[in-house]
Amino acid sequence: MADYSDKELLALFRDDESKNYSFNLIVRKYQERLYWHIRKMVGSHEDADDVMQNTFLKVWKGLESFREDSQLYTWLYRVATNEALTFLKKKKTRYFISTDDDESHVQNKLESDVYFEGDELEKKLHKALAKLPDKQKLVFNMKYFDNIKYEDMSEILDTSVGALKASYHHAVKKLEKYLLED
Amino acid sequence: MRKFDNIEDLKRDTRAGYTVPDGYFENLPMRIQQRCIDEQKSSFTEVVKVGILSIIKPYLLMGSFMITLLIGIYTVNTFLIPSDQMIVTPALSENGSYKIEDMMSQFNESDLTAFVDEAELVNAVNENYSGEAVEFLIDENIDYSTLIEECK
Repeated sequence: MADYSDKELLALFRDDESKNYSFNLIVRKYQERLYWHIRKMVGSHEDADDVMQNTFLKVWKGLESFREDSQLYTWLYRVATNEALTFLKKKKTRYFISTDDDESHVQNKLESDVYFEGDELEKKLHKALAKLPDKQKLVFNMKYFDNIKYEDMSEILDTSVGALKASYHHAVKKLEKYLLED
Repeated sequence: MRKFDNIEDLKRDTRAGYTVPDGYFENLPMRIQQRCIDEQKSSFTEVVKVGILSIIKPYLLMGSFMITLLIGIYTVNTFLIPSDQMIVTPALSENGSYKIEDMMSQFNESDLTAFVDEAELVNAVNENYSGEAVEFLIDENIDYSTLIEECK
């Protein structure tokens, strides 16, 4: 499969004859990055799959009017992030899950999840992450696991670089304190 | 469990211990493409439905209002007005005018006098009838319907 740049993919998408082909290439290029980003937010594979489909549906509808004032991947990340946050908000409202329940909820989910192969320390890390507010968890995931630059993160989350650095710093302190408790 | 001193010690794997079913990423683009096509079809159908509905809705409302009105008139006419009080169109005579007897038989004295107040009635009697004729009617205690019967 030919390796196209984002600009080329967008140009192909705007041509009716190559629209479907271009979209297919975009999905293949970014699916894994976006999937793991979503998965770390929502936890289960089934939920991540739902959010992924919703994300790419929005991309399909919105790509025509994408103004290219940001990079394609930051725009895709932004759509995926918003979909994941919306999903989490709806889930908490629907099932009346409070933040206090998150820790035991995550523990139970990880124990029964066939698509989790992490060791005990990774389980503990996920339990600790569940204690963080969603946006702080997001910042931590994007910096720690995905190694996204603060400038790109600022575009994705529409937050200043300073605020993101502070958020990450606090997140690390909370997690270290929790992980060292035992 | 692995020893933990610093969060930087942990393995920085973007998957963070999570996995996916076999072949998930191979099949995902096709599933997403199909979902986009289905979504496009259902949104087109919705647009057509909404479009047609918005055009015919006012006519449907007008039609149902008219039907309700007609049913109401028919119901009132059939069930609520007693048959002896229903207005029946008198039959036409041979020369095209209505038969006076048919017309008069639909009304009783009280119906007629209800439309005329006492002063008008007295004036009409005074103008159109001789005093003798009126006195005769009163003395003989003849009522109006009896008079009509005798005229037939």
